Amino acid sequence: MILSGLIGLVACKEPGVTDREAPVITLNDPVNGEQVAAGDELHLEGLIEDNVELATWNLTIHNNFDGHQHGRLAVTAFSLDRSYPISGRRADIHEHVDIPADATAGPYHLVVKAIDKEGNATSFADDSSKEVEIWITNDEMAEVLFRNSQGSITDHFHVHAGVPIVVAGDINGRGSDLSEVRLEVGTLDISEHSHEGHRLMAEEPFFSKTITIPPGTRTTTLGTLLAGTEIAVSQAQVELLEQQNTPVYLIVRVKDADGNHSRFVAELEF
Amino acid sequence: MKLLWGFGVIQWVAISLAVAQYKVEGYVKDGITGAGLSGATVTLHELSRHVVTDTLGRFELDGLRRASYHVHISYMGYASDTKMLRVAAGQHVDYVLFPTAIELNEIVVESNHYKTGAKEHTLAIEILDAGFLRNNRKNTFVNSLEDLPGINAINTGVGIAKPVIRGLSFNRIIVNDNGIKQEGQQWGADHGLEIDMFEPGRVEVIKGPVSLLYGSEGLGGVINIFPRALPSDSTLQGSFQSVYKTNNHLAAFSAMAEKAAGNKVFRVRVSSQDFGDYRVTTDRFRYNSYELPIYRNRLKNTAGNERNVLVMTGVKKNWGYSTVTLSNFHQKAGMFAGAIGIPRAYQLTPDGSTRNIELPYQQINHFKAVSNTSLLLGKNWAELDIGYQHNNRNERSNPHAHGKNPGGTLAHGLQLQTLSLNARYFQHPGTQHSRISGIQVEMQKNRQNGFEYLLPDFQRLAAGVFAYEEVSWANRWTGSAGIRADYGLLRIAESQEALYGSETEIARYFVRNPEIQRNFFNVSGGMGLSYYPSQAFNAKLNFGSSFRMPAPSELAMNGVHHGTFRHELGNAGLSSERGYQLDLNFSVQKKYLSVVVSPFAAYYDQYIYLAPTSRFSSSLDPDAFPEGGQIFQYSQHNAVYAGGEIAVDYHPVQALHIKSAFECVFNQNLDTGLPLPFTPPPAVFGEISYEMPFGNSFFRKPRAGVNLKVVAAQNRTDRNERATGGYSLLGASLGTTVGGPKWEADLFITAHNLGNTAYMNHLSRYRLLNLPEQGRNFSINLIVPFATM
Repeated sequence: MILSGLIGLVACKEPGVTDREAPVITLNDPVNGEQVAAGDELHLEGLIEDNVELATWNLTIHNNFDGHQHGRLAVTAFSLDRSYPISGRRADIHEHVDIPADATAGPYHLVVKAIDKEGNATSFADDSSKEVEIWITNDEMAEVLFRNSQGSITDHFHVHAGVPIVVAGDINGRGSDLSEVRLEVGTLDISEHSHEGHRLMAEEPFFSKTITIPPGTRTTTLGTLLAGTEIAVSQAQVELLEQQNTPVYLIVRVKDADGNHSRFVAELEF
Repeated sequence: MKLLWGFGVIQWVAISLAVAQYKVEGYVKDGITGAGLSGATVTLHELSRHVVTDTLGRFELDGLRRASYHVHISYMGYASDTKMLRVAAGQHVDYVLFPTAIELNEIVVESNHYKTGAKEHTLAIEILDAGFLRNNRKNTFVNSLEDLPGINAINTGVGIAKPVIRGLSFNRIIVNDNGIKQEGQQWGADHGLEIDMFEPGRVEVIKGPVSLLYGSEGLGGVINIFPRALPSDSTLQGSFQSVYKTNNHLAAFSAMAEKAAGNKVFRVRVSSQDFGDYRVTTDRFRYNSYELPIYRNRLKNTAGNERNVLVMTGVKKNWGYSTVTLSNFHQKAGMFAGAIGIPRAYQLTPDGSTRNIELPYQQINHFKAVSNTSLLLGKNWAELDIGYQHNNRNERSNPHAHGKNPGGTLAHGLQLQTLSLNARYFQHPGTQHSRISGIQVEMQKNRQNGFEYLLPDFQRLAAGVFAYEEVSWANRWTGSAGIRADYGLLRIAESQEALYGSETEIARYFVRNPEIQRNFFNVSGGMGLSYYPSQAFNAKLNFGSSFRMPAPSELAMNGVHHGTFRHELGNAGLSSERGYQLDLNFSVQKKYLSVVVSPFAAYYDQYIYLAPTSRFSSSLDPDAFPEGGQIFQYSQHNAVYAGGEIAVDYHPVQALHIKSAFECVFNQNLDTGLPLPFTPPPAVFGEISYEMPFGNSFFRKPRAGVNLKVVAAQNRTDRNERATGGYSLLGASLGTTVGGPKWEADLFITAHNLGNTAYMNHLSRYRLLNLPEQGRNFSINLIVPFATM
């Protein structure tokens, strides 16, 4: 009797009355792929809402340098982890984050999380914590200048499907020597949401090549790095991309000897 | 060395006492026909000595000293029995056994610690013999128990599992191996049980609060692992077992050899296994708003290996026996490449091998030296277990990119040393009255290193004394009662973290945890009643109280669990938690039918749990926790648990076995009104197996079976815990004994998740990443026993 009573008690007292809803975050700024120069201010703007009462939100920025290179860090990258108390059911968030002038250039993840008064928290597992990738730039990082067939600076190349793609450009280490260059032909993981309402898995690039640059090299050219390498995108692949209205880019990621990462892209127009 | 020395002294004392010796002989008979049973086994428990009856059913035991013994009588196809035997002169004793078709009764149904038969126990004990363990071999020892009603496992991939009994796990379950409580780092969800799955010879599972005989922390239940019986043949015997699994290309073997030489016994076992990345049923999973790839359906870096070795030696005499067992368990298991931090697509691209173990991985070495002694003191028996354990746990991963450069990949290094002593004294004030009294002492020392931090250095002492009485009357009632007192002392070292202002300069220190000194004293107890008016019916009632003093992790933890994104924070002010549990057990045992119903209800006072707070790591200190998370702090409040199991075995004909088991657990935190986390969903397991009526001199006893496990959705979840959908899994097995006139071997194939069903396990560590479980898996097992002439 006691037993069935207890079972009844537990089974019947459903957790319906308890607030179990996590806050909802809308992050308007920055957007995926946004660039900010070291020494400048990063502007963050968004809205956090809860069904009952908000408590704390958290902003984290940390580097994503090992994204494609697994070497250990030689420099101290910028990182930030701050928590801010909030209250009410709706909180507008505006933050100005000073990016230090000596911040290492490269990709960073910016993450916004929130918890309500009961301890209900946003999570990555159900996409309720928000994350964007931003790029910090500085004057020391390597620079890539794409050049068209006339030798003038450009941001796109006219190319043809099914035949080897011809591209040109200069890579300058500026503040220090070059260390590694990764060349890719593919799509960019930008913040456009798919029809299912989520980010798509980054597609495998059509072409990728990682070149380790010999020590003491301050400048090089795409021509030198691509000597003897053929890049081609088939007609079928181009048609598929056109259907999806997805642009294709030549993506050049450069790592310099000081640990700065930079990324330059030129659109490939078929 | 101390252990070996102590063992020597015991032997010397025993040998120097020359005493009178007696002979006992008699027959084992069929209870219905009265015919002698040839080949029945008669075992003297206290001496670990067994004899087999001759063609007329006659047995003889000589060289016995004046004492009370427990005798187990078992014979294939008959219900086993346990009787007490008082030897004071040479005597004749006959034993009768009754036929049954229910497997569980074919084995020795007696608890090693209580020393009474199944029906006299007031708290039900599930007993699993070597045959069950062999036929239910899964990825780990713990997983082998998963199909028992009320038992589950918290898994991390396929090589790491920890036991859950009726929804309770972690520090609330005691696992005793060779009489010594296994001390690893039980508080961690991804810390598995360090047991070689080939070694256990026999396992007892007690669901419910059993602090009484086994010590504090037995709130949820106890799993007792016993080795095989001591060898009694002078020929060298042994077995070779091997397993291959298709899903992750696991290849495992275990070789064992044992021998008795005069009074001396020894046994050696070597086991090894290697497995690759396991396959799941999908090629992508959703996390952090990405669709992430699972290339070729293989979870990258979930490969692992295990190397285990065990050596046992000892003596068997008429005063008892004494053994020393040295064992070493070594495991290296990869963690899914995305399991530490947020999984990223670039981490998941194949690295060219499905068998390599890259970062992150965990490497565990568990060394044990255990001495077990059964000794006749006057006319009573005493048992003494002494153990030393060294658990060395290393979790390695790439350091996170924060300011300081730690050097090396050791994230967590934990070295736990434990010294244990258990002594029990058995008395028989009357033929229907027995008493067990005992003491237990455990001393621990923990050391930590690594670039991450969760648990501080600590020292811990726990000591307890208990007395337990059991009285039977009228051939149908047994009552039991016991009381226990415990004392615990805990010293936790202060732990500080240097915060760097620049690359080399320390700006200030952050105190992770203060120095903590606590001591605890508790009294607990239990009582029960068993009623067995006939061979067929048994009802049990047990009421027990148990307690657990707060673990060092609960008092002092302060760090980020990188897999769960949780910041776990201790609470130095916690008091002991206490449980009160009422257990009922009704069983009907007919020749072709067995039905067991076991409901329970429990109330926990000051139940300790991790409660989510509304703060983040950086709310505590902006600089101390790079990449922190939500703070979960240990708190305590009252909670209730209720549920039960139903198990049915039915044999419409001798060869056909139909088995079904149902389990469910409800619980509620009385503070939040929410369920407790990691609660297993209700489940039903069903199995039909058939022993084929044909076979020839080469293929003997062919058998086949199918099984189905239906698991309900778990929608009763704690705050921030996600609901998990239900699923059903189909399995099958096919086995035969093959052999010639001079040899034989067991060959069987089992299939798991035949339908290649995509499902998530509510208790899996990788559930947090939305990862599905292992796909279809065939397991091929070969067991070859051998004996030299």
